[in-house]
Formats: sequence, structure tokens, C-alpha cells
Amino acid sequence: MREESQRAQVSLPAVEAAVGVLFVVAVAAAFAFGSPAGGVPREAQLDAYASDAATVLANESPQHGDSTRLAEVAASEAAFEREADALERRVDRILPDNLLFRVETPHGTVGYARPSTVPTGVATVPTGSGTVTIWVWYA
Amino acid sequence: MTESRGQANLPALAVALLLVGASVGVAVALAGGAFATADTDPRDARLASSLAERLVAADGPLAVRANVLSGAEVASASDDLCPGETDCRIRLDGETIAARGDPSRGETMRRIVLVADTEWRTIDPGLPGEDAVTLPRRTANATVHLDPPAGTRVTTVRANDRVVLHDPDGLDGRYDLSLSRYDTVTLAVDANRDLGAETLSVDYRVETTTKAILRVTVDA
Repeated sequence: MREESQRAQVSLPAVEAAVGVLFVVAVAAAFAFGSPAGGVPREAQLDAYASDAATVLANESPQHGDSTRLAEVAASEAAFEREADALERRVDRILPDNLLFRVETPHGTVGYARPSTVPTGVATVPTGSGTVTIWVWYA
Repeated sequence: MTESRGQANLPALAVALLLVGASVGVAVALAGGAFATADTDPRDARLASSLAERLVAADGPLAVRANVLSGAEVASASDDLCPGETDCRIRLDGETIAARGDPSRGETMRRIVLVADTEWRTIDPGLPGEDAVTLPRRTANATVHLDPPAGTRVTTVRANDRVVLHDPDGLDGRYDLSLSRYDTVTLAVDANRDLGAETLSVDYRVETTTKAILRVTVDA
């Protein structure tokens, strides 16, 4: 009996209070982080960047043949091999410095590996020989 | 037994209630703040993105083509570009081209544009033999000056075998041609006899584009 009385005993209300506080904090966190931030949504801005880059490239004159620059890279394997570096430099020049990009053509891709965890903007351009897709995301 | 064990439950209950009460208070304050700042009708962002969209559209007030702004139009842009009575500022690579009020608390939309500056150049081909002149690639507009010597009739001008000017009685004077932007154009001249060196000169438009970021800030 005497030993039992020496035993420390966690107060039950304290345990209940801890659990209660945890619940309340969880709800508060939902309000703190879950509410949408104001302003221009990131995705909308990224989509605008992607479609701007696509429009600029789609209206640009080609390096050699075909009607536009994108039609030229999408045209054939050989044309893609020849133009890939120039296209990558050009997209890099067009986009602001804080953006990374990936351009996919029917014959290959240029740019960086696309991460799955960050918001991305996307634009597609139809060309005579297939679709060219441009992804951009914040570096 | 009860005296030796120490009954901690009552003060513990008080502390626990205090803790829960305090955290509920904090949570309600947070939620209130979130509701107060939440913008269910983001006018600034909507206005900024639609104004930016209009400026880069092919038929926008400053545009030459989609996403290409005319350097001359940009230089002479007026503050009327801002819609309605809103405070807004339109900047092109850090240089303000139109502004009204102080929209520093507003929302900003960024677009990628090219700024095109055009100048006219003249080629005077001298027509060495074959009566044809190739324009530099991707020339979209050209003005042809024809001044044939007396007795010579220039009947047809072709651009890449497409007839662009034709007059059986003879062409003489200044003609504006609209050419394809997607082809390199060779102009060929048909005449009833050999043309002199002074007969043909072509003015054509050269466009140089530079990349820029268009920033539209609106505070409605």
C-alpha cells in the first residue's frame, strides 16, 4: 500500500487537456495554412509564362526550313538533333531567370527533368507533325 | 492513504482547462484572421491578369502580333491603358510605360513579350540579267518602286511565282506588297524588253525584336 502511494500518477485531466489542445491546434493549422492566399495564383502565372513562351516560339522564323521554329524542330529526328541546342538556348533566353522549363517534341525533349512536387505551368502548340508541349516551373 | 498520495487532480484540472481554453482562443483568433483576410473576390488579380492578357493579345492596343509589342506604340503609350478608375501601372522591363495612381498594394501579373522595332531599308538590285531580286528572309512587307525607261513596259511582278502586280498597259510607280512571313521571297519582273539598272528598287521592312517582361500591377 505504501509503495503504491509513492507511485507517480499522471493526472488524467492533464492527458485529456493535451489531447484536446492537439485537436484544437489541428483545426487552427487548417485555418493558418489551408486558406488560399490572395493575389495572382501561382499556377495562373506559370500557365501564362508557358503560353507566352509557346506563342513566341510558334511565331518565330525557323533556323533553316519549314514555316516556324517549332514546326522545324517537330518535323523530323534529324531536324530535332540539329536544332535541339539552339531551341534550348532560345527558350532559356525567352523565359525569366527564375524559371526552369522542359520542351517535349515528337522526336525528343530539351530542358530539365520535370519535378512532380512543385506547381507547373503548361502550354501545348499543335504543329504539322505533332504536338509540342512546354512546361515551366519556378526554380 | 489519501493524505499521503497527494490529490493533484483539482489543480491539474484547472491548468488543463486553462490550456484548452487558451488554445481555443488562439485557434478562434487565427480563424477569424483567416476569414478577415481571405479574398473571395480577387478583383486585383483578375483585373491584372485580364489587362495583361489584353495587352499581349494579337489585337491589343500595343501589339503587332500575339506577344509582340510595337516599339513605337510602347514609346507613345498613354495612361488610358489603365481600365476604368483603377490604380494601375504597366511596366516593361522596369520602365513604366503607363501608370495611374499608386498601385503599390495591388497584384502583379507578368507576361513575356517581344518588343519589335522596325526600320525600312532599300535594295537597289540593278537587275543584272535575270530580272529577279531576292529579299532577305522573312520579309513581310515591301514597297516596290518601278520606273521603267520610255518604251519599256513592265507588265507583271511575281513573288515566288505568285503574281502580285499585273497591268498589261505597264506598271509604273510605287506599289505596296504584302508578302508571306513564312517564306523567303524572290521578286521577279516581267517586261517587254531588258530593264535598265535604275528601273526597280525595293524598300522592305526589317524587324528586330528584343525580349522583355511586361508587368501589370492593378489595385482596384
